Amino acid sequence: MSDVNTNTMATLSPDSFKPIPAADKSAEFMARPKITYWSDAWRRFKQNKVALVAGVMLLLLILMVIFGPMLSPYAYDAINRDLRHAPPSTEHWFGTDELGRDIFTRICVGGRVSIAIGICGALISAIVGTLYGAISAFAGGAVDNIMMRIVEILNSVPYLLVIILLQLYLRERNLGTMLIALTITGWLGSARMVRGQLLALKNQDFVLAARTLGVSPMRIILSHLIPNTMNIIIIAITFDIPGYIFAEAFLSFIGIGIESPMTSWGAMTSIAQQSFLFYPTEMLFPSLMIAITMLSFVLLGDGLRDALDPRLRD
Amino acid sequence: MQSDNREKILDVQGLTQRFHLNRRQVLTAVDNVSFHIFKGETFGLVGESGCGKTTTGRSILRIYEPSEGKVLYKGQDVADLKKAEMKAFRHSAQMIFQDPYSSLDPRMTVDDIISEGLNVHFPHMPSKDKHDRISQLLMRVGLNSEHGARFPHELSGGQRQRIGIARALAVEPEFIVCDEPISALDVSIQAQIVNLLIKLQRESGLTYLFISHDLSMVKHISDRIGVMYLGSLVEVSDNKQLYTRPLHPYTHALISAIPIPDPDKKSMEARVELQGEVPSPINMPPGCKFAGRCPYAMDRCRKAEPKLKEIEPGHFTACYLYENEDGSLKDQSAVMF
Repeated sequence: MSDVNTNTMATLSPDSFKPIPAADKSAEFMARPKITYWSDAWRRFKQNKVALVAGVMLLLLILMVIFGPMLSPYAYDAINRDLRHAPPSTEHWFGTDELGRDIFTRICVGGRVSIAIGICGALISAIVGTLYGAISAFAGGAVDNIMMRIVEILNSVPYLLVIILLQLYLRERNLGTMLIALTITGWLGSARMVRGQLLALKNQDFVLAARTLGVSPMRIILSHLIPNTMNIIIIAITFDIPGYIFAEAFLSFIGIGIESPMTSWGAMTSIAQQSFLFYPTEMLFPSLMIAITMLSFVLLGDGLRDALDPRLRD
Repeated sequence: MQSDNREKILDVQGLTQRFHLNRRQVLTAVDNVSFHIFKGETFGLVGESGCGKTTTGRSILRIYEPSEGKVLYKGQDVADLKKAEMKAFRHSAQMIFQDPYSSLDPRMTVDDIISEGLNVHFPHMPSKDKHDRISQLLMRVGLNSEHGARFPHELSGGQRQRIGIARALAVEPEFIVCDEPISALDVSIQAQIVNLLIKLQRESGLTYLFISHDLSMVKHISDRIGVMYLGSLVEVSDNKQLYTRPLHPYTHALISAIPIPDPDKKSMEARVELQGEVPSPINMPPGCKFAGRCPYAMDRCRKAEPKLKEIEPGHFTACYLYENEDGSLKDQSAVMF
């Protein structure tokens, strides 16, 4: 043993030792250009083909309800007694209803009501809910307690009852009153969600770190709290829209929605339902529109949720 | 004493932090803690989980408003600072957080995270200078400027902790509270981070309050050490004295519990095993908090809480074993351990 040792010792000289070159620093080089959060989200959204198709569908639908009536020579409320219950033809693309009104024109005009209620309703409830939830989360203590009990009480009242009472009280039924009726309890969900998210964020270490750095409360809200809540708000809006469209359709269907001659997809299915067995196409088109719109919004919401979360970046 | 000549950067006097859980229950997280930190040194604060180490660190930086007591930073009470002075304090005292996962905003790139402090304290810095500064900081903490474009979730735990350190260093602080900066990391990474902290201290003369529950790591980095138990400081000492001659029975038990990484070497003394659990800090009874678990507890310990007293030069402990009934110190040779 000792022989081997001395032999090795003899053959080793200081010249045998060479410094290994330092690790290659360029190994960490990033080929990818710098991108901001929103452009990164857009990049990921584009990769999701289903959501992209849903977005295009919605765009087409919105264009159709805006410009459709201009393409059609018929007014949405023009009655033609000689051509009742006409099947789809080149004259009337989607046929006519029991009063001989052109269904394509009515779908476009009714679609305006449905989509407007969907988007406005979701936006109003998101804004009101966000403000309410944010105030509640920031005030904390007794204020928070009282504000949340109010939400729970409102939540426990059946919303159909509230809407019927409100419709009776307001006497008229148009887009405005429908929106009031639907959003009066619709904001509760987003208020609770935003409050929960903000409470969780408020005590996160990165918010404490910002406070330790002396970042002003306003700046903390703008640069940490809102961006970290924005994704859930945007997703809530896209998932709320089909809910509102459906709620409007449902109310019109049971006869407490939009009043004739103004119409909506729900109101159209309600009328068509009476002669459904003889003239199924009259019901098919408005229900198809409701289905396509809701499906597109849900798929779009799914895509946005994935795109807005940087942790899912691949 | 020679150490008194040094400049105190931080002087904590009777700091108490209570949290009202509901109308009846009060949680006293930090109870009448007093210590000071000299400029340029590392003060280690050790204790088991839930003993108030983190709360102490946060109260010092005024993340929580202290219930009682004072925190003097360079002679000024932190609670009395006006707006402009507060900004200067935020410029000078920083924090490194325990959890490298929740301490970085998942929405921000590393560049944005580090420039947050720069934007507050150097609002007029041209963006090119800011960019250079960020690359420099990344280099200093052992990363490179390419990391700036990444999001936190694309980095490992150790890299994230380095970003947390770079964020604190960005405003060129003099004093940093390191709140368990290594406890969420692997052992090999722990050593890297601790050595990085030591290197940065040498380069810029930083002062650290190093909070940890890892006694061997604290021994490695600290000049002086404070031991906390259930919200109270039970012993303050120089690094060496604490490990060779712990005075408080709790410290004694803690130190005897450090594993020795050599199977051939026997522990010098038998391990002290404590009985029972840490009591709840909610509505604590009077007396020494350790009395319920202390093998040397006397009647006196359950009546009133002992105060921190200097037993040897620079070595303080809060324990009745070292003092007579009248408060005078016992003859050291008469004490049993």
